[in-house]
Amino acid sequence: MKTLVKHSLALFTLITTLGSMPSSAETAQAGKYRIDPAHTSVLFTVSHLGFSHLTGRFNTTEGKLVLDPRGKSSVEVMIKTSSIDTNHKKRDRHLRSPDFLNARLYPVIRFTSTKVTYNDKGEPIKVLGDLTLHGVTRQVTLDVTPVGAGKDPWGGYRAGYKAHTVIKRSDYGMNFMQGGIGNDIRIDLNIEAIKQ
Amino acid sequence: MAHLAFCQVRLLNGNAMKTLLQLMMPAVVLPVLLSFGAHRLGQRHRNALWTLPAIWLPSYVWLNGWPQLPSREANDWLWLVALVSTLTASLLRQRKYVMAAQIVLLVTALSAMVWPLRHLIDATMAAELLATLTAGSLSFYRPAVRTTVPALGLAVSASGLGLVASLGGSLLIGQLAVALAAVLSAFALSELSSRGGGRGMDAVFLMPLLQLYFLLLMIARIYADLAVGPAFLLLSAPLVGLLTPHRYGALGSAASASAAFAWLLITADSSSYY
Repeated sequence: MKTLVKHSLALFTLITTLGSMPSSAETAQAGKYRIDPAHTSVLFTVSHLGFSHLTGRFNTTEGKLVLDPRGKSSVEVMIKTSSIDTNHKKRDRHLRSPDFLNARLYPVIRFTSTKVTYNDKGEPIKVLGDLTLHGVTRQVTLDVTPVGAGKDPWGGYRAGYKAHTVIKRSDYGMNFMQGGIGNDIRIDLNIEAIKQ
Repeated sequence: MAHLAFCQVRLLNGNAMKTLLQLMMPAVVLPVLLSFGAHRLGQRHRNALWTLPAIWLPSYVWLNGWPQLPSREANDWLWLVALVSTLTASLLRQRKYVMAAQIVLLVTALSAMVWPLRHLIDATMAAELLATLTAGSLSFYRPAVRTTVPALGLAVSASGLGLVASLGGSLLIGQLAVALAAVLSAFALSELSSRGGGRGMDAVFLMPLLQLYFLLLMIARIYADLAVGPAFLLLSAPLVGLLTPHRYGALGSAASASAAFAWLLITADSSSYY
């Protein structure tokens, strides 16, 4: 009897979990979303002396999305500059210094969209916007790939996206050690957002 | 061992060699060459000694890039300070006016550099700024002596700042300080090796270079989070050298700078990751 109850509970859990799993085929509902910082990561990759590529991340991100293929859409992402993490404390400290990010003077990296392009299914595929980094604002295009959307196990509604772009740090006035540290920086965003 | 040797050869190839040259050329080679040239000129024309801060400027532009106008970052003010300080010191005839002008310039430059962070100024930062201002003002107040010792003392202090800043927060500030040390060291060595011991250097010629030293230290402390202990020792290093009235003053500066370096080695991760 005990085993039967145990198996029934396990089956119930499996069914309810599967039922609330996001569907990769589902297009995210139109609406306002808030970026979930706990499930969002901002990664960057840069060449080191031409030998290898170093990947780092920013640990504190917040923002909001307004998705509406037929109306006005927007994306706003704010990244805390001092939350840079390259798995090396000393290097992180150097990256925060005036040599690179000057985190004291420029505490926030901000992306504000100016145009969101959707595909035929109503999924965002390109986001054009202004990236403000190191006190300089320049236009960049994020190539977006929808990952999944649907109800979460807690009754909310979530949508997830991958996005990437490549910037030149010299465009943002970060020219120090150009010979050793690459000028091109690839930025990858993994965003999970909760519908409000 | 063979593996280590291989690694060293490998590291000095291609981009690594280019990076090493980029670090060394503007910080050491260029200022030393220009400073030797200025010394030869200075033996014939006394006013050529005013060119010492100007010798530092090519290194500054090489390392920092062309400064932004209007200045956005603290580093962007340094070239202007070097020029205004040199002009002020060379145009004003009387020593007391030169000193007063240098103090006013130091207050102005410190205020301009810290202005973007005014919302972050607390009692600690205010005390540190006041300490920098006091140390700067004291170091400008010098009796009229002509000797190479103050230049050597400042060279040693700037070398200490270069090492400590490079390992403790900002390689750029470290290189700018090393370039300052290279200018002064080359000049002092030229003096010492001159026939008859050279003509010495009036302490008033050091004022623009002292301005740069204190401002670099302040930038390293506030913008690159240089630890407070080494920063305090580096603040006192040129004072010890300048205010000690005998030829061992440079040794006092060396002791303070070494203590700052030792402090950093003991208390922080001083390893290099470059």
